[in-house]
Amino acid sequence: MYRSIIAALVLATAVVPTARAQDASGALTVQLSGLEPQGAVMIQIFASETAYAAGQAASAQRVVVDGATEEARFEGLAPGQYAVRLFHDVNGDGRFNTNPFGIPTEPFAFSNNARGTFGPASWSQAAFALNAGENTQAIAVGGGQ
Amino acid sequence: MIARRELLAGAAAVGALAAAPAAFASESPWGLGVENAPVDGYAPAAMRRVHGRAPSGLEGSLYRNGPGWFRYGSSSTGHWFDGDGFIQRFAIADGQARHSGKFADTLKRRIEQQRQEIVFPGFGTRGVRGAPVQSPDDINAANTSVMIAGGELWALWEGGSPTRMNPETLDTIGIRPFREDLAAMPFTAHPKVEPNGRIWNIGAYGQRVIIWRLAANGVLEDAQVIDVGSRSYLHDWAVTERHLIIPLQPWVHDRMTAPMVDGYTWHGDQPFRILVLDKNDYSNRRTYELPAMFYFHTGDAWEDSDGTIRFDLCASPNAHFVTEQARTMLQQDSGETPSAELALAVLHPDGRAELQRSGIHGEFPQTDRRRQGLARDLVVIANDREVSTLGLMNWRTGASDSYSFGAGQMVQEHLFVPKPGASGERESWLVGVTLNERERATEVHVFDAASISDGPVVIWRSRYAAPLGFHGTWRGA
Ligand SMILES: [Fe+2]
Repeated sequence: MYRSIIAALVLATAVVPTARAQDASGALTVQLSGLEPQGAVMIQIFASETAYAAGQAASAQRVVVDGATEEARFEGLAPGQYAVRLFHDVNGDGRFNTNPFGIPTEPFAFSNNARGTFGPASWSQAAFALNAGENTQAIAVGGGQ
Repeated sequence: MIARRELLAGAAAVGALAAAPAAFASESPWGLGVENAPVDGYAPAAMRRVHGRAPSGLEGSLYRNGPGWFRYGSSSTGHWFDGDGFIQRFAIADGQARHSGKFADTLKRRIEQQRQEIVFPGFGTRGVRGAPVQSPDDINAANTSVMIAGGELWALWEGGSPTRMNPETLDTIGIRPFREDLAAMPFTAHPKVEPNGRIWNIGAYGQRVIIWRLAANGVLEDAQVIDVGSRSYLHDWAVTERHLIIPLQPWVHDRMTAPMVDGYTWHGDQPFRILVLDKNDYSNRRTYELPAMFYFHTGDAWEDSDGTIRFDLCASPNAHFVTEQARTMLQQDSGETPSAELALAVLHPDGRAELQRSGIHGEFPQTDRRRQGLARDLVVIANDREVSTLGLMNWRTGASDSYSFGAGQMVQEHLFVPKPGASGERESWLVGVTLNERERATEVHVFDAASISDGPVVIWRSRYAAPLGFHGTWRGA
């Protein structure tokens, strides 16, 4: 039941550039909170349901975690529907770690603070409208326990 | 009861259905035991001594765990096993007893209290659509047993981590993995503690099982995953001085469906397999077979010098209790399933296995924990069905002793508590809890293991009627 999210977060390293809007492009600030100050957060953004399902990120960033809150900024995005997913690589090994039964042992999160049921949040849960100009997603990482 | 039913009909007629589940619960003889405990638990309060007197030298605390919260208005848990873990303490000192209780402060409970509805899926509960579950520990009810380790009280579930609590205040400390890469691994409510303090436990996921070995202070020594070849429901197991015994019953999780209990199938035509592993080398295995039966609990195990392994278990013909009664008891009385029969499984060195039936019935088998894994005679069981009795079996002599509580008493697990300065099994008290339905009160009963048919030596009655629990542990003063 956890396999899909592992596959999604581990295998999706490919970044597919989106067509950049000449004008009126949008910027997305991802505000992260609830972080344990170590390791790094790996953030991916997706520009369509198909790309989200296929793990083809429009853009990705690695943010080193020094404090309980961090920020990442994505620029030059065409307005439209987007979704963010991320995991906190707490031990800094560059991988989304799981326990021997395949259950994630590192925090993961999605835009809208969406949570799936025994797996990743769906596109419809995580998708949000990105408009021209400034946009913000505030995401609590590992906000569960 | 009639009045209650009429009231209910009246309430339904005016559309006040939210009142229904609580009213239904009281229709069942189990009803009082599956009502919500107070949201903040019970402040410590003196219990009233209603019979006998406290034996001198009985000093310590009985900690018990069990589901204690079942419903928010019409939003109800679907199965007894899914209620929030409610930890009770019965502290005995200076001839007095005090009762207190507190819920384990789990993520599941915090979110459900906030939303005032049952949100999460469980063993027999569907949960709401889109319930936020990222880890088994997100639905950890911490509701099945307790143990003391490293100065902490651990509230145990079986699908995830122990929940650490303060044994004095019953405040929740939280979940802390044994090792980062082993977070959210299952840890059953039936750890086995060797006389030297070392702790063994297992946790099942599909047909794979993790075998935990912890030091007496609760620190991880070793963890290994093995494949047991069957997705059998695995609630309890057994350990001898040299072997780990994993019973694989023919109630098998063979469909992924919600709730989980509906994914199990009873295969009455298949054997009850018993996997025996060498404690020092898990690849060194033997398998035994007995005819199909269902069990929740083992007592304990030991082995003779010729290699014969014996362990007691409470055996039923099928899984009816867990698939039917443990769900319907939360809504209405649908009739009770017969109690399990205490039996001794004997695994011979030549590979044969046999089951010796005791003729006495009950559940929650307990033994003298100082003899974990070692030869012993006695096992005590509680019968909460046809009759309310405590039964004590002596496997060496074949004789049994019992005490009947009479009508209106739900008897729960009783633990062996050694008398100070004594080492014999019979030189123990049996300390446990009943729910007295007539008095609407939880009671602590203390028996002398040498003569339980003489009745309790002391009974203390609480001012609270607490929910029924599953398992407990004793911490001597
Ligand atoms: Fe149990």
